[in-house]
Amino acid sequence: MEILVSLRTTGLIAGVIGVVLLIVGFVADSVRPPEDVVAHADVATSVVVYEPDFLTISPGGQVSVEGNGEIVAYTARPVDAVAWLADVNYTEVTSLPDWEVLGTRDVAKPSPSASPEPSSSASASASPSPSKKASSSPSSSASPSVSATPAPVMAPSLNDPFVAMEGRTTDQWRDAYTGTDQLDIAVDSVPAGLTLVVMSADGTALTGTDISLTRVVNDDWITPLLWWGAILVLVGLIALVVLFIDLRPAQARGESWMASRSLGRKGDIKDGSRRSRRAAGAAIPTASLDDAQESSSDALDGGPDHDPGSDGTGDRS
Amino acid sequence: MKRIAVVVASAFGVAAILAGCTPAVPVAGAASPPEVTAATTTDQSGRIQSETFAELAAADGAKSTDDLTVRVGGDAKVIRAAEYKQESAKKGPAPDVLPADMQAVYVTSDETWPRVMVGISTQPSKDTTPVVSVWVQDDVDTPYQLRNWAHMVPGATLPAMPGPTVGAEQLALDSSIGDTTLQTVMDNYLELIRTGKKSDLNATFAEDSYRNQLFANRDVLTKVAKTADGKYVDTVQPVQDGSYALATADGGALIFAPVRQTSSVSVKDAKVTIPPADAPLVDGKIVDKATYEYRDMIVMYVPPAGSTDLPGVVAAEHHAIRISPDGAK
Repeated sequence: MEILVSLRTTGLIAGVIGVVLLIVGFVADSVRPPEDVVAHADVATSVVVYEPDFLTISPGGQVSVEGNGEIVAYTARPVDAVAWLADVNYTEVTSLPDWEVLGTRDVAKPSPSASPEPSSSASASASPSPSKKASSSPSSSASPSVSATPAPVMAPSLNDPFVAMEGRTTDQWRDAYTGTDQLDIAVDSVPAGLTLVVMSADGTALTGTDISLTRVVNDDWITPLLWWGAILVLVGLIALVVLFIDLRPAQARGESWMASRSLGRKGDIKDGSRRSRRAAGAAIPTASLDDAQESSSDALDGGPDHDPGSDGTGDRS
Repeated sequence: MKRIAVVVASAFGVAAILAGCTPAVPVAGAASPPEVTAATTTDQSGRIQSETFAELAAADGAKSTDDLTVRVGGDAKVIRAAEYKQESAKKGPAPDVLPADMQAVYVTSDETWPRVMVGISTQPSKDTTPVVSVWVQDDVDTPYQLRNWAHMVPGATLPAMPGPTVGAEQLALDSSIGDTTLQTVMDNYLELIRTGKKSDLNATFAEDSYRNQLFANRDVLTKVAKTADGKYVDTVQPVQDGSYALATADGGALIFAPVRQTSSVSVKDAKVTIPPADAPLVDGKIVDKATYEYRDMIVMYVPPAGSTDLPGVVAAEHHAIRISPDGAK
């Protein structure tokens, strides 16, 4: 009876612990941060730069740049990128202050220094006097110029990303990536040690840039915790159910069964049983050497292994 | 009830603490250096070459340098213009064949400008030696431009160069190899050309057909001028700004030096006659004096310090671009 009560109490305690574990597990699961993170920064320049050191922050990740229209990205030796960037306004992604925020710095190209003195050679070749040979009347063959059509603006495109932009060569660029409105670049596709320079093909401002990150969350303990909590709650439920069941008939049957194990069928003591010997006071059997010798001679005289026909004196009593 | 509240609060506290154990934001490390430290990769130099020869092919087709706007410039454009003029003459020579296929490309590892890139073409024909083409990029905004070319001197071999992955160090002409500078080597060679084969400097350079040809022409023209009581005068001037040098793998150097030459023949009581093939180059009226202007290109190998080899010309070109009665403009 005491054992059953003890088990039931233990089960109830286990159930309470299980409930606590489940609460902890579920709360931890609900507040668990996602593993895939995207850090973002707004951009207001037409060029975004990722230095090679910063790209090591996201192995296997992805850099995205958003804008309007065609976007093109290049890789270059850092020294070449620096030289090229010296003449443009750009945004450099520099840090990761928070999991979801990119730190940037805007770099403006140096403004041309104003010349303190006007050039003295500006008007040296100016000759305002019209030539006497010039006809004073407009030529009848004069016709409206048809060559005023502006030359098509050359810009990098999906088909040819290495077209010179604004007269600046693309010889320093090594790899090229192109996209429309958004350009996604796998970080691993950017050769190590190279700077990534992303720009809009038409010189308009880009709108933002992202880099995807993988956050390694230490959450291996949550699932086992939930399982253990569930198991313990189950044990507690069983104990709770048992608490509400009247076990006295079963206990009585159990006790009578135990008693029957201790007594004979009719409650009598069997002759020769240990109980009868204990009742007779011979709780501990005594062994006497004389008895042993007698029993030995008895055995020699008429033991069950002795052949009575061998000496003719044997007698079974 | 109070116990339940304590348990729940404890659970939230534990969960909050555990959730706070998420890792800190990663910190950028140091990136490994680029695999290709040369200024241009094979892909980059391939783009430059293909665009160059496409532009050149368009110009050759039109027989005009109007299309040589981006990838061909400098002396190469001037020489090509002269070749188109000569080609226009009756039985005029065709322009030099510049193969687009390269058997080697030398690139610089330099991080500053100007930068140089050199291509060694395949052999255009069995009678013509490979062409050494020199591209130059003046700054980060301007494209690599084919500025010069020179056919290899028969029998010459180019030294081993650093591979395209690391590139060759670009040397200033005042760089020293042993106890002499590259500038001194070039100055001595030009002085040898001016002085002639009797110069003491003749023994300090390996034999080459380029200067032998110049000396032979000088002898012929001097004799021609003397027959008409005239004289022959030539000048040789380096182009310092357009000269470059790359370090070779053995510690020597390869110098790429444009040279300006003029050859002037004047006669008395006679008339100078210009060969038909050169007639399109005449600028002005030639009577008793004709001055040829040449754009030359010399590729000189300077062996490393301690070597028993002599510096020598491995490739050279001698192109007339203009003939006038009064010399260079």
